[in-house]
Amino acid sequence: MAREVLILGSDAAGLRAALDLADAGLQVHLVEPSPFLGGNRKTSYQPGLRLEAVKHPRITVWTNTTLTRLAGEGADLRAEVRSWPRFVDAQRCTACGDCEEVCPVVVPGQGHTAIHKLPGVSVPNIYVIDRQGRAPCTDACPGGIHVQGYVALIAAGRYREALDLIYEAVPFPGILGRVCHHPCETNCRRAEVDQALSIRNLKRFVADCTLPPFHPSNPPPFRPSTGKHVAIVGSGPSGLTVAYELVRRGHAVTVFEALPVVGGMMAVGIPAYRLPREVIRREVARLQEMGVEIRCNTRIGPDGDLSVDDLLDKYDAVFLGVGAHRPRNLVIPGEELPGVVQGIELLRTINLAQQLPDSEWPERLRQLLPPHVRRAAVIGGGNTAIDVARCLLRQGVRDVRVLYRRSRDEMPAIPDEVEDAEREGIPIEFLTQPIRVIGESEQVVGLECVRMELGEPDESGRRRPVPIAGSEFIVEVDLVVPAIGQQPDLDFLGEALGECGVTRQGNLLVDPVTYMTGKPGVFAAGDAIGQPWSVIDAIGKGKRAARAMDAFLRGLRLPDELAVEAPPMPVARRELLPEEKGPKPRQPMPTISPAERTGGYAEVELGFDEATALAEASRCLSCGPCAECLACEKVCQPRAIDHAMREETATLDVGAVVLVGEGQVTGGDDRVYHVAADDVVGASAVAARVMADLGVALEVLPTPSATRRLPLAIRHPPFAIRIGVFVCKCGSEIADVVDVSTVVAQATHWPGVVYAAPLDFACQAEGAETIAAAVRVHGLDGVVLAACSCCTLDQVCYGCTSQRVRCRTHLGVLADGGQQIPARIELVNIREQCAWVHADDAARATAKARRLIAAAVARLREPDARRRVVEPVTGPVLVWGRGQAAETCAGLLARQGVAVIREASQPVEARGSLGDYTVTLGYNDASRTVSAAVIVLAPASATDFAPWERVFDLGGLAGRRPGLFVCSPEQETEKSGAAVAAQVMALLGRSRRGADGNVAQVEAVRCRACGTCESLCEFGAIAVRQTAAGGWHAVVNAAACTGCGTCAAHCPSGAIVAGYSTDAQIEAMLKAVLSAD
Amino acid sequence: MPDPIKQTITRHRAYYCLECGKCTATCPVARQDSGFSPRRIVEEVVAGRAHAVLESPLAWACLTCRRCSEICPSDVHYSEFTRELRILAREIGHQGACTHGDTIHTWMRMMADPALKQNRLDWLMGDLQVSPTSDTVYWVGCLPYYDVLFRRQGFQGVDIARAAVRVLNALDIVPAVLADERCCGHDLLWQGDVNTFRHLAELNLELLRSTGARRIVTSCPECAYTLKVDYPAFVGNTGMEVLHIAELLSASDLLSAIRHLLSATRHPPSATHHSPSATYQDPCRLGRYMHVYDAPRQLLRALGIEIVEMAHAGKTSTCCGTSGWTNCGATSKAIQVERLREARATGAEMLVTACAKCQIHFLCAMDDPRLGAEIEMPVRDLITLVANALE
Repeated sequence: MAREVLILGSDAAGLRAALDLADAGLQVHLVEPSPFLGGNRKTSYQPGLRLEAVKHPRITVWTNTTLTRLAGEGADLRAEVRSWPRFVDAQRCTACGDCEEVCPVVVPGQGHTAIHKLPGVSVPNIYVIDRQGRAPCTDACPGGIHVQGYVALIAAGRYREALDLIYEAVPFPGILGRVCHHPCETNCRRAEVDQALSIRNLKRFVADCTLPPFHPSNPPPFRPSTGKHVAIVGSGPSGLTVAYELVRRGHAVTVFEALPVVGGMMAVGIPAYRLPREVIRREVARLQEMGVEIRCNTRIGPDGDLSVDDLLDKYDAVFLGVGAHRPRNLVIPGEELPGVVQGIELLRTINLAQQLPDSEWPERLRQLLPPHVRRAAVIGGGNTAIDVARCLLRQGVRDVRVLYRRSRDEMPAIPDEVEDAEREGIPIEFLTQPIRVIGESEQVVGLECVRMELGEPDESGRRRPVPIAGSEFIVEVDLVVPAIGQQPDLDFLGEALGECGVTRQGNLLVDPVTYMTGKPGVFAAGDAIGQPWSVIDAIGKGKRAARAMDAFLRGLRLPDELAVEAPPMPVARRELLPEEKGPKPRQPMPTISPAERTGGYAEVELGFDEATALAEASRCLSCGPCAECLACEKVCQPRAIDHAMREETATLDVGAVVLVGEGQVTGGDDRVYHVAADDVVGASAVAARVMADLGVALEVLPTPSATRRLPLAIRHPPFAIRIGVFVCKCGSEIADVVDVSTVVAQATHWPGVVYAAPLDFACQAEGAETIAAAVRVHGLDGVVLAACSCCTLDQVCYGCTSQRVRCRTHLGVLADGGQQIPARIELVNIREQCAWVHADDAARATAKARRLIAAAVARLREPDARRRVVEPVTGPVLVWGRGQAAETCAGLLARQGVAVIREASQPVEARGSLGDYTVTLGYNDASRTVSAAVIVLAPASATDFAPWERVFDLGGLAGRRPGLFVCSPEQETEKSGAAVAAQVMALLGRSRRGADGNVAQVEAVRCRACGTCESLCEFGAIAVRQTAAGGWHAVVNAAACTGCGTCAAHCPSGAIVAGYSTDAQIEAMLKAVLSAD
Repeated sequence: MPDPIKQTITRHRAYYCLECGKCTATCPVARQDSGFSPRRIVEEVVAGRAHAVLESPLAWACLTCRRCSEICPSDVHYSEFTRELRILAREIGHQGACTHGDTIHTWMRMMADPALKQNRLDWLMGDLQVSPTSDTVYWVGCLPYYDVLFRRQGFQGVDIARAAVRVLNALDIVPAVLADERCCGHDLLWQGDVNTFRHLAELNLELLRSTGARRIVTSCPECAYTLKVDYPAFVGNTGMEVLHIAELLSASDLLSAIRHLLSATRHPPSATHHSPSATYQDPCRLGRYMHVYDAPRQLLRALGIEIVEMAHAGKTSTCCGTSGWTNCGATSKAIQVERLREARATGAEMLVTACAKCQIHFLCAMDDPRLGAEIEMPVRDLITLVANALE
């Protein structure tokens, strides 16, 4: 039988039940669907209690978690829970809020940033990212660009960061900002409202941005050099991406390019009016600045300068990014005529002739495109067809038309480009297929075509065009330009081709994970390994290949040792809010006029100005809602943010399930309890039933530390204690205000201090480890930690936080847990008391920090009187009353093996406190005296309760006298009886964990037995007693003592030490505060 | 450099100790706390084990009541010997356990600040007459301060001061009362804080000398002894006569004047009238230190009060149980309870003392939830009784 309990829901009732059960000794899983305890309802329920749950050693808190399944029966239940990640490490976050400041996303309908805490007190005090999945745009990008991220940064006017974010993923923001076929826009959810965001143009905007205070982006950080050298064949997008990725990973790279220009298809396929050469030059130059060596006019191959095997000899690995430059033939009669010119060849010649006017290329263009050509037909529906058609227009061919065998919907070309072509006067004839080139005397004069209709879908999913019989017709043309596809030209591989391997389609064959060809050390990607063909796809494949090559170069075994990437996030599909559905039309891209266009190769699109870009970026719906801009990750000094966290499931063996509020689950039967969210009494009642079901074992924990002897009547001189001072910088949260290094330097001069050092984050495990190591190495007896924790008590108060609890847990100063550092530890809260309250005055903050730390050092130099006391409450429970409440309470306690005394007679006298109550009941001859550790009163009415008020002199303090419980007569009797039973069990359990170290201690020889303490203690925790020797002095009931110190403050002879400090410690601290300068 | 321990031993005749143990036998502390023995402490120090004493709480347990010196056949000055041991113990960082959260010692140390400005005359009111040019200074001591702490026990210190001035006025003495009087330093000196004592003494001497008076009268036995004996020994002579007010009033001419005044009051003591009874607590400083035993008794008799002596009275009188606001505790309480039982056993109606501290300590001891009824009795101040009778 599992003695663990799952509580679903952390409202007031959930917290109550969890604490009662855990105190009584059961293990509790507190499951909360929202990221914070108490839910997101901003409950006013005491934050202290929520933190108490976080701190409790027997409570495991599961935030962002749902109960998905419950199986098993009886007390053997298996609960399956699913936790959505916070994306913030609860062990590292310091809640400094730097992340929130840089987060560009405001969550629609919530008003807070994507990374956030609750307003007011959050428990746990750990940030959470509202990240429901990956934005559709980001998910669609083959290049892995955080699309929503840079859009959000642009909307926030943070252009430089936006560009940096793009550069982190790809080396070509300017190129992609012009020519990308933008799958992001295709997936954009804004289209559900009006039109997709103009994302590509936003990318172009930041890539071109020169607005102040915009500065060109610096290269991202490099890894140290590995000494490896890689040869890359081809300077297209895949080759240059591999170069970019490998250079950043510390490898040397040389790129070999056969052509005289760099950029592959980007430079010789895409026309200049779409992609000005200056943009390519700029982005390639950036690569070269990063150390990429590019050698043009260097052909690899048997007939070239070097063979692939030569490269393998000289380099540690080879990457083949040779693209697909060999055109497909039409395979129709007349194709061999000189007036038939492949589109890809024509484009290359036009582009090279433009870029190299003094070379042989202008002459070669004249041969391909003689001056007499007036009419041209371009065959195909891809970007090459549209590009070559528009180039022909610009080369002076008046009549250019595009023939495509399918319809507009099937066209692979970018629709905007098709529209631009039509606007420039290029007709596109759909459902038209050429069947014969008509030539006269070695001259093309016409092209015979046939009309098509669409039939069943083919393997590409598009409907197959079928010729319509008898629809043949002839188009009169001087030039036929086929542009129906390309494939790689792999002749350069020569004999190595066989080793590498080729697919049936004629592409290079590579491993789908490692991108390695059949020839070890030779990798390939880009168009050379097949479709899809686009710049961004080539980049995406290049990135994956580079990752594998890096692993290969580091000597890892492929594919086994290739680092596992985080599994993909599901795509976020949140419901759009009504207010998000208001139309905001897409910003049009300004262009030059059609007349200006055909006159030359000037760039057609002019780019967004800032106002347009801001307006466009603000259309983003924040689908994530987190944009994955990673701005938070960059500023997070504790390195707490991790976007790679993924959903996790766990199976818990539990004996009972408590559903708080509306929670529902199937299964579990009679072991599933329900309680209303705010019914704390009901929660305790449920806890009592669960305890009865599972059985509670009250175990006494071993005393954590030996009792320290009190200083006897004299004050010791400062003894030779070796003290270490540690000052937490809290990243920069403290260090930005308090001059930590100066404080540390000064601390080393104080008496007793033998070691002082700064810490980055005291509340992380590393902080405690650093301190523990210093204690070992320097033989420290005492440690002063100046961070954000205030005290070493095993309690939380209104000012406490998750970080403070975490810090104390790591240091081992809490009741259970953490490493035990063998030194006395003093904590000083300089984050709040210095860095926050004097945030505007660094000098004052530093001076105050120095004084507070000096005071803690002085405190350590005085003997400490605190000791942990474990005084288990044993003995019977007196249950007084006749009604159902008494019956239920007594029954439930008895089932736990607790001795119960039942009484219902009138009380005459009552004395004592928790653990040793003495009550006289009944009248005259019938009176008797009962001793009990705990008293439960279950009066039937207020009148019934009155005599108890009198004998205990309660004065409204009934709830404050430890070990005295009252079942309120106003409550449902059975419920209140059960609730009190749970509270009694919780109290008995707590007394076995040990009280805090500040319980009062009496030095008998100094006690005058004047009874002042006894008359003042609200908790009945101190009383003057006669000793065995006959003397009288005050005796403390440690189980009942709260350590408030009232007795110590009033004791005339100073016989009592209570609370956190001895008088000597307070005096020493005051002296230090007043003299430290 | 001479060994300070040896000097102490020599100065206070510890070498002459015969180890007879009479001191311990008569010591009120040893009677309650078997761990404390003056004989053994002398023995330890003489045997060269002074450090064991200096580092032990035993150094602070002595009440300095002089019961032991009174009986010592070798005239060992045990109280002064203890005082010097405490001075040495303080030098190595030890200190007695101060009562009342160190409040009173803090006041004393604050008064050692030369820049301190006080106004200690607010309690003077109504028909009380003082004169800055008087040849008699009435030295108030710490009476007004104690009121703040011990009001709950029913102690009213300023009433003692007012009574003193009223009695002086009735005898045609218009005293000077000093606004800038400071603590005489008695408690600090006896707790070993000789440095602060010196500061206080120097400031007080300067103040007293500036008055031009020739006589100091005080209602505090400790102030009287300190100004008279310890100031000349440690700092300097006041050059003035120092008297406890009981000494002054018992001078034959003044005593006659008092009798005369009393006969003129509405309720003259007479044989037919019920004559109240009292028992008298000899304050250590007034009795064994200054040998003033008869004067207070004469005054009481002059008031028509019948004196019933306790089992221990005069030279064998028992101390009130605490000295110098230090080391109060179970032992002190036991001494006080025993003394109060002794007082109750006399059947007297009241316990009279000439020292405010004796009064406070007895009042405090009676504040006991269990013993209260057994040990309760009215505690009266001598001068207040005189003043009331003269009304």
